[in-house]
Amino acid sequence: MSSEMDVSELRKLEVDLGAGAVAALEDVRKVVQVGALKIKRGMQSDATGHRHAAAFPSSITYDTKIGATYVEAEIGPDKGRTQGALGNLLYFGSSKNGPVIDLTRPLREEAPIVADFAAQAAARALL
Amino acid sequence: MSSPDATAAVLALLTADANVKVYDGEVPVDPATGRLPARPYVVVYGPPDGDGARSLDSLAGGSNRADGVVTTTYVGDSAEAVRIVAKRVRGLLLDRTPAVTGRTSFPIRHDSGQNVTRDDDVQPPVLFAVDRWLCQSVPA
Repeated sequence: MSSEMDVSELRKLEVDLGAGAVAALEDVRKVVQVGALKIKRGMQSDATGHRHAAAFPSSITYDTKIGATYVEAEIGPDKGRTQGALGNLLYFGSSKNGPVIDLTRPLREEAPIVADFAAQAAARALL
Repeated sequence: MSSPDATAAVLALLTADANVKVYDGEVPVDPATGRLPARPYVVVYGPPDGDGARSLDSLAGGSNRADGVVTTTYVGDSAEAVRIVAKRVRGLLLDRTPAVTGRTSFPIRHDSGQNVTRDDDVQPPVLFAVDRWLCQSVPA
């Protein structure tokens, strides 16, 4: 005894969802880029006004990457830029001193907004 | 027992363990010898008001939500000593709900940190590592 099932519609759905996922990633990347820019500006603002680290805010940069199934953003001081290497000291302190700047305050503020817009972008692409 | 703010509550959780040497914001120097205390130890750095900046509580509508980061810096003579203190402190803080008078606290979450690093700016050089803990609360 054997049975057969027509799965051609399921295959079509699979292709549609795959195309939707690719489109979603591009839209989500735009959302993440805006969020990363705002976090970078927040970090620069928080880092401004320190007498011995006047150039440090300019060392803070961001970069976004897109993979097959993910979008990621890297935001923070670039050690190759002037005073960028001060990041560890300012954000984490030393054995004798505490941190000077709250590293994740801008991220905590922006992350829920990015997550909300990313979910909306993904839903639009898949529907 | 309830503490007056989040930083005090974190200190209470840590000092409850007699095996952890804890300092609040600074490490006292022995006035007679001018020396720092024996390592390893942990130093706790809290926000100025103990609870952290107030942010908007989206449910209540006012800036009542306390959003504070408490930092724990582990100092030791070896990387292993730093790791032992760090592990103990993490066990004492992670996901624990601090008791703060007049406030409802959320469980303490690990925010970020720095791996074991050598500090050559002090003599003799020591090793240290850092954890940052997110302590959030709303009015009770």
